[in-house]
Amino acid sequence: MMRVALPLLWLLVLVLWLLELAAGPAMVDVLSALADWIGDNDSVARIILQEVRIPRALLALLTGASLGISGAALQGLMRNPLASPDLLGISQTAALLAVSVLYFGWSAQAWWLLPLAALLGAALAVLLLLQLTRKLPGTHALILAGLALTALTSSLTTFALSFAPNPYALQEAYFWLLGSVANRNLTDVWIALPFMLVGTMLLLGCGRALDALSLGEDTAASLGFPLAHYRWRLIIGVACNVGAAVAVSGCIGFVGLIVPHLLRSLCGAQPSRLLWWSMPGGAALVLLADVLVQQIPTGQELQLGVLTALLGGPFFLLLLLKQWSER
Amino acid sequence: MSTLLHASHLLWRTPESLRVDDMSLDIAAGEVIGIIGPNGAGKSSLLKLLAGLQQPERGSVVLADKPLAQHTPLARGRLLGYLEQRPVLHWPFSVQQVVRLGRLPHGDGDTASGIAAVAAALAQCDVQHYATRSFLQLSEGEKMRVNLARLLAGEPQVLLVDEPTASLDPARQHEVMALLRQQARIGRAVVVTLHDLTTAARYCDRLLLLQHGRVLAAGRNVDVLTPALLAQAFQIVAHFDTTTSTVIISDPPPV
Repeated sequence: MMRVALPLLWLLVLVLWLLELAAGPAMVDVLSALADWIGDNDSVARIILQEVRIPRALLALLTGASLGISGAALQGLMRNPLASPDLLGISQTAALLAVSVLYFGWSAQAWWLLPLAALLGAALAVLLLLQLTRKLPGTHALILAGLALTALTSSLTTFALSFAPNPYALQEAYFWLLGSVANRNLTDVWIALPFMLVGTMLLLGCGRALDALSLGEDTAASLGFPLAHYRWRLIIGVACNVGAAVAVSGCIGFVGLIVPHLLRSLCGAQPSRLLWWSMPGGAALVLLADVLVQQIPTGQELQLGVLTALLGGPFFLLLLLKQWSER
Repeated sequence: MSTLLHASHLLWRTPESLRVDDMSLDIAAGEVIGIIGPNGAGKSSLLKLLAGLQQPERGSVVLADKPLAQHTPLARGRLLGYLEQRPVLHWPFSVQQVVRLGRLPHGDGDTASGIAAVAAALAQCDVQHYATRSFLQLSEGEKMRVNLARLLAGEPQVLLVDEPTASLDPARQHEVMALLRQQARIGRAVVVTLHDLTTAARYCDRLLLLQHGRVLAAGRNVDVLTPALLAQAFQIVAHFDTTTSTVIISDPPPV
């Protein structure tokens, strides 16, 4: 059953990806657009597919997979089901550094500065949280530390935005922060992909160490997996994934929280297995949410990050209540 | 008997206290060594140094004729099993999943050899009949047996076990200690910290009595559990009855 379930989840991702290609305000026959592309025939449908739909669908898939595996890795590292990149302020710290790069206009000088800044921000946040949780163990300390980091970085980001040179730039940055994969192009995909691949490889290589960490740091070390050997690999892996995701699609919240939690009931709680499952899980959730934002009849298209927050907020509260009742 | 673990002149200081001061110890295959002493004497600290979880400020630990630091972490994990005083489990694993974690140093949890080792460990600790149950829902005694099964699944040559009988009823204490003795019979070396002096006297070949981070006495139970040493270490009036292998406390500690 387990062996079939993971390929089935990837099949669901493929179906949602194709659905994402068909979604959008303009009616496009995806098959004929693909035929035009293969036959090198110029057509409006082909241009829409090539320039708009495929980059958007690819970014939704990559962002979802990255946030999913990052959430699973963070939960394994901190041994806490409430750990996720956005709840702990990791995405927001990445966004702060990315906004700084945008604000000073450095992104025009080198394409890699924006993802690098986001990546450094994410790494800094994970490092800080790890140090804090060593001094102040427990779920509540972790959430409070994340809350403080989110508040600090969000206010600094707002501070930076308040000095935006014009209202248009402010609106651009604001919408980018809300999280979206709309109006992106293939360059964004190529910017994010290398970081996401490196990050994913690093995280997948830590599966056994995360399994050992389930028994605590001392026992994990006695089994041959001292956290000191894996801490940096995990931090860089999460930073690459979250940094790259934030750099190209802003802060899409709650994916890293919801996905591992939902999948635990399907594949079990083993962190190494959850890493593999959370990639398609995250991709499926973000693709589904992005298809939905295009179908919901609002005047202006709803931002993807807003929808995931609308779904994730109550989910987070339910999780908290469940943890509280189990105490 | 061949020496599997050799520790000499270990020193571990923290800013607050002297945790381990000039401790030496040889552990041979087939023997059970009991480490006893009052709270804060350095029993768990010594075990952490032996397990390589803490680097000594001075002194060395040699495992299987090679300094501990020269073993790779995984090689060390295969040779040396450590069960901490209060084992934790952060995720709702089944009993079988917990025991399989013992194979992590070997990396063969899904292969025939790994599956066979896990099955053997489950059977040895008599926990195979609840292998699919959630670990977190077990009683303290059942949890300890599962943790021991996890330890045995790794087939280590040296077992370092920190207070396995704490919070267990007498019958469960006997089961755990009998299991550790059986491990010694098949050629493994066992180091176990204990609070109960009678349990230590009955199941251990040699005892190490600690006080204030130092070795107060070491040797056979009759040499270590003397009224003078017991009074010095625990501030109790007690003697060791060799006919029943029982430590009898005749006077409570001073208030």
